[in-house]
Amino acid sequence: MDKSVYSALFGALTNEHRLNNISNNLANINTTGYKRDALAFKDTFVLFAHDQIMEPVANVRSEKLFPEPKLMAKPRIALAQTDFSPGAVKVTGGPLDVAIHGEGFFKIQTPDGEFLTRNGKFRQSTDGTLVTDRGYPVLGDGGPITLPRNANIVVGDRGEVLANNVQVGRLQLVTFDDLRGLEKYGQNLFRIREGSDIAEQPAAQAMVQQGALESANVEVVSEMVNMIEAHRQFEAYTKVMKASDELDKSSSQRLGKASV
Amino acid sequence: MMRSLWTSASGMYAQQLNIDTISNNLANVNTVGFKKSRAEFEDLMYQSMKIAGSPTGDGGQVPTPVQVGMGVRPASAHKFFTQGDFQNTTNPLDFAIEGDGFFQVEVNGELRYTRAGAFKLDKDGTVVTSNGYKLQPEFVVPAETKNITLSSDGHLAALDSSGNELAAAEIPIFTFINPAGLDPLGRNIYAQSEASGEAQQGVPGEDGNGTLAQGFLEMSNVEIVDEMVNMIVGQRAYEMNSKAIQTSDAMLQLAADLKR
Repeated sequence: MDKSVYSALFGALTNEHRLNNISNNLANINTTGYKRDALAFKDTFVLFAHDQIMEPVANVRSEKLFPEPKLMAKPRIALAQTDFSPGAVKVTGGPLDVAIHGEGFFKIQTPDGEFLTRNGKFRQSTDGTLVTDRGYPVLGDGGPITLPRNANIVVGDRGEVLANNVQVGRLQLVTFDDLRGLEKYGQNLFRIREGSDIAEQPAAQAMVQQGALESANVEVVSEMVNMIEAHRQFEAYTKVMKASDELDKSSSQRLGKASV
Repeated sequence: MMRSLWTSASGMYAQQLNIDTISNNLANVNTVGFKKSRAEFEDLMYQSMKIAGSPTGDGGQVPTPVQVGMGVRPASAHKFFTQGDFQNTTNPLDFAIEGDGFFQVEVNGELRYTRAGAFKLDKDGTVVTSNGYKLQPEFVVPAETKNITLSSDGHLAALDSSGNELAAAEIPIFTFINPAGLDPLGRNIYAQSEASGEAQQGVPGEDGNGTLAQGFLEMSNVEIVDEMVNMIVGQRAYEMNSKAIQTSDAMLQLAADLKR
């Protein structure tokens, strides 16, 4: 059997995965604080089972018994990472809508532990605590922030929260030495990946804007171009599979003739 | 089947909800006391395809895991209680609230809240909303009344032709810690809910409560331009998600064509 069919299969599967990724980016085009995922690819040279066999006779008539493993080059996903570049800031006018300019995340307390988010769509819970859309408290420097009723809320550049001109807390803004150690959890939340040793540090460059939200950083045009590319590559790989099939068919036909 | 089909379908569903919300805002652009809604989205859970640290075919280790997202879901569609524009009607029974707060009305024996201050008199002279719901506390205007006045702090008085008070009441306003959590019942009426917190009765103009203005109506706070821009964004996002479905479909077709 011709081996190119397997190389083509991996190529096609890779492109299917790529389309899944593009679809998720496009589905979240209106999700506040969403960060797009990007993929990188590489060729891998897969080890054959026969590479592990200790051949007593390495060569038969000075010909290699098995083909070089490099013949099985397969495109694989090399790297998947979240692109943390900033999204466009959209002015909403809501007093408890806040967007971060530059680096940094808000810290959120949930029953499953602390999470990070760029989605600054906050509200007041019934006991006055500043919470996210889902009702998880937003952490300030000294724990959750409680706001008085009917207060005129002002959020300063550095995350200071003022109620009727009295400071009631400061939004905790954190960043990490290596953002690749973060993973997505869903619900617009990020968390530190298990086993990752990235260090949390205060986000010194972060600037908070009140009355605005950060849009997703998905670039529609590049996603559409990637989608076309994934589609056409998939098509090309199916052509390779068909050609490989043709090759097998004609060779078996010829073999049949030779034996007669 | 391909994950991207379902991912994109979730994206289309989310944009549909977005357009539904925008349509309702536009339909209510002239509704007295109407507050616009905005749909908010969040990303769904992520599936790990490759775990970080697992060995690769060429003997290395996977540096970052490959996570693939499952799409988007609507997180909330909540009301924006920003101030609407005022319309001067000179009608003595048109009351507007400048700032935070609601009027309390009785709907079928239950206490409800509204900002639509276009009040009328019923056959007994009771102050009611356009739908006949009685303003609380109930106020009956005597038959010989020539003039009705309302001060900015809620003193409602029925005066005779010589300016003597025939009847008077203090109209309180009610505030909520999280008005976005109120349950909209339609007809400009809201019900208290677990998310909104308890209604707190207050005197207009005190403790950050809004003040009352007679002869004015609060119009809807829908901004046509904002809604039109959001509609364009929603429609295009819907279109692009449908393209991702088409691409998935075309790729599946190619895969199906492999076998002749």
